[in-house]
Amino acid sequence: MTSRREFIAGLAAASVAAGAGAAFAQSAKPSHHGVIDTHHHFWAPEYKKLSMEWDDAHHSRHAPTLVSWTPEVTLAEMDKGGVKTAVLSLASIRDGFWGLDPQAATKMVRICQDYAAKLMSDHPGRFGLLAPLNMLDVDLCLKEAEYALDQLHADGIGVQSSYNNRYPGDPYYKPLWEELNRRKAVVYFHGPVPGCCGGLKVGPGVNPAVEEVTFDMTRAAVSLLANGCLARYRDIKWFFSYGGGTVPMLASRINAFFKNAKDIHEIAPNGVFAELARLHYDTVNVTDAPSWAALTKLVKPTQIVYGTDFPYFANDQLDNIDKRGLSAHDKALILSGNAKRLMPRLARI
Amino acid sequence: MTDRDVFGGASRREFLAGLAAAGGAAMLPLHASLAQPAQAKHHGVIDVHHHFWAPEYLKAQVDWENAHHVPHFPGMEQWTPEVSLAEMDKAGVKTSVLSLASISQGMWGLDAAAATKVVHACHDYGAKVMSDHPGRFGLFAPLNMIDVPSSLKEVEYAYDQVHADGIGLQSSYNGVYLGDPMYNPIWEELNRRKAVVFVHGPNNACCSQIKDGPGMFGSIVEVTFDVTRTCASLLTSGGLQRYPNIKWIIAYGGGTLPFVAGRINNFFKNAKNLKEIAPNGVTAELQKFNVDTVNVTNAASMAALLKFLPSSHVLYGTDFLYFRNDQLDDLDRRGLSPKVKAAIFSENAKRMIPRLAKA
Repeated sequence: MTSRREFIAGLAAASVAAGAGAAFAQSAKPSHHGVIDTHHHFWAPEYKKLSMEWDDAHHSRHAPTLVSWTPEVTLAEMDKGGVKTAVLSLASIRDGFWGLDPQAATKMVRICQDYAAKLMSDHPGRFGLLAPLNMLDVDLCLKEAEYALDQLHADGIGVQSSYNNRYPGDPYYKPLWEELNRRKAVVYFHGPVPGCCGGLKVGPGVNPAVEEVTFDMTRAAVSLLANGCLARYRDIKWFFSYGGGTVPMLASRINAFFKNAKDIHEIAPNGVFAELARLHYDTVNVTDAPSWAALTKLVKPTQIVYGTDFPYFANDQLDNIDKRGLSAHDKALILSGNAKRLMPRLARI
Repeated sequence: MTDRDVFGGASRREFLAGLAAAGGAAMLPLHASLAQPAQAKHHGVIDVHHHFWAPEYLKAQVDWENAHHVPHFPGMEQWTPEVSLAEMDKAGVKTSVLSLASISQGMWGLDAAAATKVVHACHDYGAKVMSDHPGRFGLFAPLNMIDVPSSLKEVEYAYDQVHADGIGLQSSYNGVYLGDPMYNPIWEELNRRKAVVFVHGPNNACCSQIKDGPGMFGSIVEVTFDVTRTCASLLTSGGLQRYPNIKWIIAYGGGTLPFVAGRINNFFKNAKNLKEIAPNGVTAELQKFNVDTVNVTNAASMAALLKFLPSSHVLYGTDFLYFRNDQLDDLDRRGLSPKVKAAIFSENAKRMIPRLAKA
């Protein structure tokens, strides 16, 4: 029986083979070029310390890939995979914002934003930023968004799909979405260890990263739909991790429940499928044939954006995409073109 | 539009009312059974996901909902076998295999002794419906799943007295998933009997109350997540390996399994005990599951499903009375060959449950 500890160790061994080790050898010429990876994690030193302290306090093991992460590890993986630019965002957050109060959280958010901005300027053209917000206090979020977008020229906002069981469609976030709608911002969602489900004992090795993050992503999308946010904030470019979590698989079921809702014309003016088809989805762990089939039946290639989830997963996902029988045109959209359309700065760097 | 309209919109109650109105089409069969129904487009279909309410079961459900201020699903209290038969006749369904709908709080918070009484009442009622309407019904018999020894007695009764076609369970009971070692004696017995085990989604305690929006409630996405969890549970506990004779049917097309199977593989393909839990690989192991077609009949989810599983593992189901046989029309639009369609609509069910071929 594999404990969670052994399981994570196994995963680390696998990803070393996949990535970091190759930086020291002469890497073979990458088979892709100019790729943009929109799901790529970073840890400001203070933020890494915070998350490791949280782990220690809660008897949770550190992911080895987190402990060993440096910008150089990231750049080596990018060079190996032919990735020109990686758009940085925070990995899964627990316990709201690591149990911090809003004031402490906003300080940490500032540290992360500044650290990412420094990486962007130290390595021109290699990094973008989907800037974190604390998401506990909406007034502070507005200030954080202003700083990130106006001062740091972040490429968008990157938040988790829920914080302490509060989902993005919650009316509490209305002022934030109004402001980001006004700015026509990219709003990217990542999966946290959600409050509901982090403690479920599903089976040996089934930690929340396996399935729960994809479920929570789906809840975020449905929350925005059911609360009318997708209809109301038409200019936000909503962008979901893990191919939408499970949205492409559940679109039919969501539609079956909502198509006769009283307010359907308000929340989904052109129907549920049309709303879901407008969203953007990354490719993390959905590059195998079954999930890819669902994603590409639900949305056009213009809505699909390449991502790795590095350092947890690596660019071998590019090879999977190569096997999906895409036209050169569609592949170019997915590997970089759509990211440049969503985040035009990336086309200029 | 006021903020209230946007954010306060439909309450769950209003939402259910809307759903019932949608079912207005739904309610029609009651009257249609009096009129001459139009000739059904399909024939000999077997519906493996069809709910029934024995009076004792209805009472347990209604009592729990009343105590927790949860509205009753429209039509549930009025259900009779005739309501089911009218829907079946209208659509060309020959046989529906009956099972319990979503259960809350384990078995409605009942203790094992009280739960086993409800279970027995369901067995007996299922047996009566089957014998009153020969050939029209099958039964996936419930177990209490709180107490293992009494669940084992229920297995024996269901098979040997009631001649059930299989066992119908929820994907978790009070947060305990089906791979949990406490259930091993049940799986050993069901493996010995080469049982069909149908797995349905409960209103689970973790998630059915999550407030992700007006009109959202556990049945929409949470039940599909819970059945997916139990698939992972049966994989990582080694249950799929240890009990190879059990024929699992997972509701809702496996929940989200066809979509997240690749992700599960990426996490577990390097697990230390892989040889033990999945000697031929994670994907091969997960492909042992059979699934029904409830709410996965559209292009996107059916594409994932049929890339993930051979069509011999896919069985038609409606989730009546929550959903209906218009799902047959959806499947007609998927461009399936007549052979594949026949397999999904009835042949796979007959292969797994030979009595249905004779009934």
